Amino acid sequence: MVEIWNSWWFQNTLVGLLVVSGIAVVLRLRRREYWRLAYREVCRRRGAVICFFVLCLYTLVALIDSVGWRDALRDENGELMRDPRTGKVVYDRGGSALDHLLKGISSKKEKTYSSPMSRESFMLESVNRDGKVLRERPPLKHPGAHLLGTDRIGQDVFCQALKSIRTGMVIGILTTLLAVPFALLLGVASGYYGGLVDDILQYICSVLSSIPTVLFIASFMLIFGRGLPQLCLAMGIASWTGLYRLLRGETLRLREEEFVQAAVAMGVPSWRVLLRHIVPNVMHLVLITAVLRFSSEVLAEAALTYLGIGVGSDTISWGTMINDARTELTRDPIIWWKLCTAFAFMLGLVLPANIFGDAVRDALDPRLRTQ
Amino acid sequence: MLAYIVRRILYVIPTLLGVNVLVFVLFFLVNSPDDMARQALGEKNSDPVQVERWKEAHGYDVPLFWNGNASGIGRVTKTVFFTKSLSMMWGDFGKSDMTHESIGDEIVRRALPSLCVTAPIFLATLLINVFLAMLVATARGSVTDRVTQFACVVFMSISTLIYIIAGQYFFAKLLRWTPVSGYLPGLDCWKFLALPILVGVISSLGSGIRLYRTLFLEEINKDYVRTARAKGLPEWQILFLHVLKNAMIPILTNVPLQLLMLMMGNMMLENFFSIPGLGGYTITALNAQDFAIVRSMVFLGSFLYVVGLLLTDICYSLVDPRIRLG
Amino acid sequence: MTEDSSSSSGVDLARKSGFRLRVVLAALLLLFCALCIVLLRGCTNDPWPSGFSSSDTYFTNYSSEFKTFDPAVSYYVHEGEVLDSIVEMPVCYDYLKRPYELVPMLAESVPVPVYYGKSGEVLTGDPPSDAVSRVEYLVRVRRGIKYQPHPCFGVSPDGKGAYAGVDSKSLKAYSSLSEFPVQGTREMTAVDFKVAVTRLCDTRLASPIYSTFASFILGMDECSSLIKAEVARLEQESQSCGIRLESYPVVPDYRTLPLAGFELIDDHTFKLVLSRKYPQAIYWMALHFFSPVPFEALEFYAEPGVVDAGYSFKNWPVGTGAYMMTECKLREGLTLVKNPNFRDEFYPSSGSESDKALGLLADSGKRLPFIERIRFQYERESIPIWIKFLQGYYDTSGIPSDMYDAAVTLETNGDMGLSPEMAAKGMAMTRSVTAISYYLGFNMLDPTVGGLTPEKKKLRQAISIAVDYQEFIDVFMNGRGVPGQSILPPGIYGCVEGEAGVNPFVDQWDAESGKTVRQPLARAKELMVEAGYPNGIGPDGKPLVLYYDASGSSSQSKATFLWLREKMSQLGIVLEERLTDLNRFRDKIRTGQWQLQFTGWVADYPDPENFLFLFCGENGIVATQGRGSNKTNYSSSEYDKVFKRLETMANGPERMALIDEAVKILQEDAPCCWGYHPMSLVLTHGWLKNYKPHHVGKTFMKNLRIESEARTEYQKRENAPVLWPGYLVVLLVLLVGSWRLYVWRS
Repeated sequence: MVEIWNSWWFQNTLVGLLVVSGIAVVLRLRRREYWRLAYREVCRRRGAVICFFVLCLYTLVALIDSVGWRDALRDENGELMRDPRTGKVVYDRGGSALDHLLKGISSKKEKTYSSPMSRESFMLESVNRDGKVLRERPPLKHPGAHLLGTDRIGQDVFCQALKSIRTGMVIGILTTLLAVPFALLLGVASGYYGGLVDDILQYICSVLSSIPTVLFIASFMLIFGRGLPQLCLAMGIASWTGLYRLLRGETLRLREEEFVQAAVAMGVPSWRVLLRHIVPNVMHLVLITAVLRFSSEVLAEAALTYLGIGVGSDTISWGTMINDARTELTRDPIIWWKLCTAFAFMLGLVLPANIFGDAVRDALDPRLRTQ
Repeated sequence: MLAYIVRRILYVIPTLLGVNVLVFVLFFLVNSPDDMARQALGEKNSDPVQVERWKEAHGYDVPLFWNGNASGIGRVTKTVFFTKSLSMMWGDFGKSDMTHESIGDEIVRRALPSLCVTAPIFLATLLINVFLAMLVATARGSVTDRVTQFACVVFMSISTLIYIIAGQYFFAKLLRWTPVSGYLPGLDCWKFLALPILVGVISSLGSGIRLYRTLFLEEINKDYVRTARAKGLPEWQILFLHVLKNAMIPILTNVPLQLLMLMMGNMMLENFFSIPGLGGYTITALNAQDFAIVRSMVFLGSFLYVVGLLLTDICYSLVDPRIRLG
Repeated sequence: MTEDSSSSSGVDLARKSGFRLRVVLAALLLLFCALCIVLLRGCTNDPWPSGFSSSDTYFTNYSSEFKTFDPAVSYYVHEGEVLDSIVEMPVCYDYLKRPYELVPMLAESVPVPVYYGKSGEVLTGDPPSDAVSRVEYLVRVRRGIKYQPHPCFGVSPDGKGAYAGVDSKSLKAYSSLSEFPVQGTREMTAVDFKVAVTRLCDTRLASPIYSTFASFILGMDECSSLIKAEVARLEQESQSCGIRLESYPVVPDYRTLPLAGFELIDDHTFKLVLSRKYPQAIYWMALHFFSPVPFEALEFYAEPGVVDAGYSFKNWPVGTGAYMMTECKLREGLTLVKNPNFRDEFYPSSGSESDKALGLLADSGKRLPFIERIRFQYERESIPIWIKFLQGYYDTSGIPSDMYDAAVTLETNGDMGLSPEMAAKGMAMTRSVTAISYYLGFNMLDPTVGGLTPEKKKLRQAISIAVDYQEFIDVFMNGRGVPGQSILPPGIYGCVEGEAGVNPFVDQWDAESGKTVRQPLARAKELMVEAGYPNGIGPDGKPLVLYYDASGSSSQSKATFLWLREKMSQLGIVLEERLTDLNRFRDKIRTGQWQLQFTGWVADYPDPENFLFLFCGENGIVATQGRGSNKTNYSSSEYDKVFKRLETMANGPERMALIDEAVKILQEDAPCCWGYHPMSLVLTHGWLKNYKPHHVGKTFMKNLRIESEARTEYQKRENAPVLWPGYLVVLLVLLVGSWRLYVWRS
C-alpha cells in the first residue's frame, strides 16, 4: 500500500487526474451565469486577484514537486549500472521535477550554519596560522549560493521551504477533497429525506464532533502511525461535520422551495431532484467552506507536527522547520533565517488564502457579505 | 423549562455512549490488544507467550464483548469493553499501560494547572475581543475598520507556534518579565502563567475580533436598532444596552466551541511552557504510546465538550424563550 | 409645547448619562493602566518558589527521565548522581585525588583480597589467575552508622512495623514519605549488605550487572535459582489469598537465603568470596550495587497499602547517605534534604598544590554535608537550562554547543578559556577529559548489519568511513572531543594515541596536521561493492534501507539523525528513523529489536577491562535477557579468548600486548562505528565552592558549598526586568484612550 503510494507512476497519475478534473470543473462552471457573475465580482477586487496569482504560484510549485521520475544509476565511467544477477538496469529512488530543478542548489551542502547570501561560515572554527590558533569563520564551499542561508547540518533553507510547499498544499487540498464528498452526500441526504436517516446521521455527527479534533487526530495517528496520508485522512474525517451541518440546514430550506416542490410533484425521482436541483444550489457553500478552511488546515499542520502527531520527521514541512528552528532563536549570536523563512513562506500561503477566501465568500453569498 | 433541561441532559447520555463505542472501536477493534502488546514489546518480538503475559499484566486478557467462561453478570462485566471502555462513563479510567499509575488521580492532580491556564485565557479573550470588536464595529466602513480587518487576517494567518516562540523570545529573554518556562503549585504559579496567558490571548485576537465584529454588524443592521436611533437614543446606549445584549446570544453559543479550541492551544502552551496540566499529560502519553491515557483523554475531552454544549443550550434557553418552546 | 420640553429633556438625559458613561470609561481606563503597572512592577523571572533561591539550596537539573533509583537496577549516570547522594557504598573514590584513589566509606578500611590456591593455601603477591581458586575480601563495616529517618523503621506500640497492613486511603493524605507521622531509624549492619547482594540474584529485577557479578562472586547462579523457587512458592501462597501478583510482587527473605559468596561473620563483618581472581571487584564495591539495603524497606514497599498509595523502592530509596529524598515527582523534579542521622564525615584535607591554589582545600576538616537541600529540576531542553544558569538560577551548567562562542574563547596556544564576559560575571570554567566513549552501534544479531561474515564486516567498515565523527564533533560539539579509534578513551590504560593508534580499517594518519582522518570515501564505496551493495543497491535491486533507533525527539537528536542520513546517503544507503520513548527503547535494546543506535559508555572504574567487557560475548544483552552490558550483542570466540586473558591481569607489557590484540579484532569486526570521546567543560558560578569534576565517582554533592548571599546579589543584578517598554505601552494606551474619550465628547 505504502509502496504504491510512494511510487512515481501513481503520484503522476494522481496529479494528472487532479489537474484534468480541476480544469473540467472550471470549464463546466464557466457555462453558468451564476458562477460567471461571481467570477466577475472577485475580479473587481485587485487584492483578491493578486492573492489568486500568489496561490496559483504556490500550486504550481506543489504540482511540479508532485510529478517525478527515477533516474538510472551510472557508475564512475558513465556506464549504466546493472543488477549483477538479473541484468536489469538499476534506478535510484527518484525525485520530483522540483528536486531535479533544485539539484543545483540542494547539492551544494555546507558543513553547518551560514547566514543568507553569506560568503563565510557562520560558526567560528579553530584555525592554525603561523603556530597560533585563531578562531575565525572559514569560507564556505559555495560562497553566496545560499539565498536564505543553511541550517545546522548545512542544508539550503530556501530549498527546504520550497519543498515544504507541497506538504502544505497536499494537506490543505487532500483534506478538503476527503471531507467534501462525505459532507455533501450525507448532509444533502440528511436534509432531504429527514426522518430516521436524518436522526441517525445527526447522531453520528454529534458523536464525532464531540471528540476534540486534536485528540481525535492524535489517537488516529497513534493507531495508524505518523505520515502525510494518515494526517490528511484523520483531518478529513475530523472536519466533515461542520460542513455537514451547514449543508443539512441549507437542504432543509431548499426542500421547501417551489422549484423543488414542483419537481417532486411532477414525479421526478428523488436522486434526480438531489442531483439536479439541490446539489448545484449548495455548491457555493461547499466552495466557501473549502476555501476558508484551507488556511486553517495548513496552520494546523505546523501545530500538530510540533505536538508530535503531524507528519513524520522525514517529511519536510513548515511545521518541522519551525520545530527544528525554535531553539535557534536563543542562540548567541542569534540564528533567525530558518524560522523566519518558514514563517514567511507559510504566511505567504495562508494570508492570500484567507483574503481570497473572503473575496470568494462575498462574491458567492451576498447574505454573508460583511458590509 | 425543567422538562427542556431534563430532555437535554438525557440526550447527553447516548452521545457519550456513542463516543465511548467509537473510542472502543478505534482502540480495541482497529488496534486489538494483541497489536498493542506487540507494539509495547517490540515489533518482531511477537512471541505469543510474552504477548499473553503482557495482556494479563494490563488486564486485556479477557474477551472483547462477551465472556463465555464467566457466569452470571460476569459474562458482560468481565470483558475488555466493560472494564476498559464503558467504565470510563462512571469516571473509572483505570491505570496507565506504562507506569501503572492511576489515570483518574493524575487527571485530578493536573486539572488545576490546566484550569489556571485555560480559564484566564478564556475570560480575557472574551472580554478583550468583545470590547475591541465593539470599537471596530462603531467605526465601520472607515479606514480604521479596514486596517483592523486586514490586521485581523494577518493575525489569523500566523501559526500559534510563532506566537509562542516570539512571546518567549521577547518577554522572557529580552525583557526578563517572566521565567522562560516552568510551573510551581500554589500562589507562586502566577509568574509562570502570565506569559502563556498573554500569548493565548494574543493568538486568538485575529479570529475573535473578526467573528464578533460580524455578529455586531448583523445586529446593528436590524430593525430595532434603526427604531432606537430614530427615537434619538444615544449611540452608546444602543450599542451597549441593545446590540450587545442581543449579540451575546450567538457569542454564548460560541463558548463551548471556544473551550474546544482552547484544548488545542492548551496542549501547545502546556508543552512549550512545561505546565503540568492535562494537555502536557496527553502529549507525554502520545509520545510514550500509552494507549490507556490517550483513550481516557479522548473520552474526557468529549465529556467536557458535551457538558459545555449542554450548559450553553441551557443558558441559551434562559436568554431566548423561543428555543425551549420550539 | 409639552412635546418640545419632553424631547429636550430626553436629549439632556442622554447627554447626562453620556457623561456618566465617559466617567465610568475613564475610571476603567485608569484602573486598567494601574493594574498593568502593578503587574509590571511585580514581574520576576525567578523560577523557584519564593524564598527558595535565597536559601541554602543547590539547584541542578536533569533532562533524561529517571527510570529507577533501585540500587540493584539503576545504571545510568544521571540516576547515579541522585542515588549516590542517598545511599553509600563500602568504599568510594577520594574527592580530590587524581588519579582516582579508593578510600573507605562504610567499611573501616579498603578491603584487600586474600588469594587461595588449588589446595587451599594462601598465595602472596600477584598470582596468575589460573593458580587462584578462591578469593576472599574481608569487609569490616563501621559501627554506629544510622539510616535516614524513614517510615519503614517506624515501630508501632505492639512491636510490629508501624505501617504493616496499612490502608492506602490513610496514606493519601501525605504528599511525601517524609510527611508520614511515624518515622524511625536503626543502625546499619552487615546483614543489609547481604540483602543487597542477594537481591541482585533475583531475576525479576533484571539487574544489569548480574552477569558480571555472577562471573566472579561464588554461588550467584545457585542463589538465583533458589530465589526463583522461593518466589514461586510465595506467589502460590499469595495467589491463594487472591492477591494480584502483577501489582503486589512478593518479597522473599533475602536475609536468610543462602549465598555461597557472602559469609556473614558478625553484625559488623562479612566476607565476600570470589570464585576466581578478579582484582576489579574492589571497584565494584564503590558502586551503589553494593550499598546496604534494609530489609524493612523492602517489606514496607511491598505493603499493598503503600503500593496503592504510589510509593515504591525504585522512587524512594533508603540509605545512610548525606541526603534523603523528600519529594519525588519524576516529571517535575526531586528534592533532597540533609539527612539528620548522617555520620560524622569531614571534608578531605589532603590535595594537590593545584587544588590548594583553586581554593579546594579551604573547607578541610569541616563537617559534611554543607548544603541544606538539593533540587533536581526536570528540564527537557537545553536552552532554558542555559538561560536559567546565566540568570543565576542554576549553579552549574555544561555549555550547550549553541552557546559555545559566547562562553568560550580560544587562547593563543589553542587552549579553551572562559570568555571575558563570562569571567566578568564571576564564573569559573572547569575543563577535563572524560572517561566516556560514544559510538554508533550495530546490532550484531540483525540479519542486515550484523554477523561476522567478511561481507558484513566490510559493510560496517564502509559505513564507519562514511560517518565521519570528526565532522560531527565540529558541527555539533564545537570541536570539544576526540574521534574514537576504539572503545578505549584516552587516559585509560591501553589506549594508544597518535599514529600508532590509528584504526587501520577506517582511518589514516594525516602527517601534515598531525591528526587522524577518515579514509577517502572512494574506499568506502569499494568496500560497499565488496559487501554486495554497489552504490547501496542490494541484491534485490533496491537501495539498502537501514533503521536508526532512538528515543525522544529533541531538535538536537533530529539534527543528528539528519546528519547521519546525509552521511549514509553518500553510499546510497537510505537511513530511516524509528523513534520510541525511553522505556520502550530500553525494551527494544533488551530484546535486540534494533539496527543502529547511538550510545555511550561511561567508565564505572578506571580500568580497560570496564570498556573491553562491552564486547565480551557472554555479556550479550539479548543472550543474558537484558542483564548484560554488551549492547551490540557482539560475540566472537577469538575476541573472547583474548579478553579472558587480559581481564584480570595486572597492568604491564603483557597486558598491553593483549589489549592491542583485542582492539585490533574489534576494529576489524567493527561492531560499531567508533564515535568520539567528549571533553567536558563545566561552568560554575563564583558562589559555588569545592566543585571538582569526578568522572567515575558520583558522591560529590555533599562536598559542595554555596555562598547564598553572593548568589542572591547576582540574581538581583542580572534579572532586573526591562520595564520601559511596558510603561511605554501603558502610556500609549492611556493617551489614545483619553484622546478617544475627548473626541467622542466633542
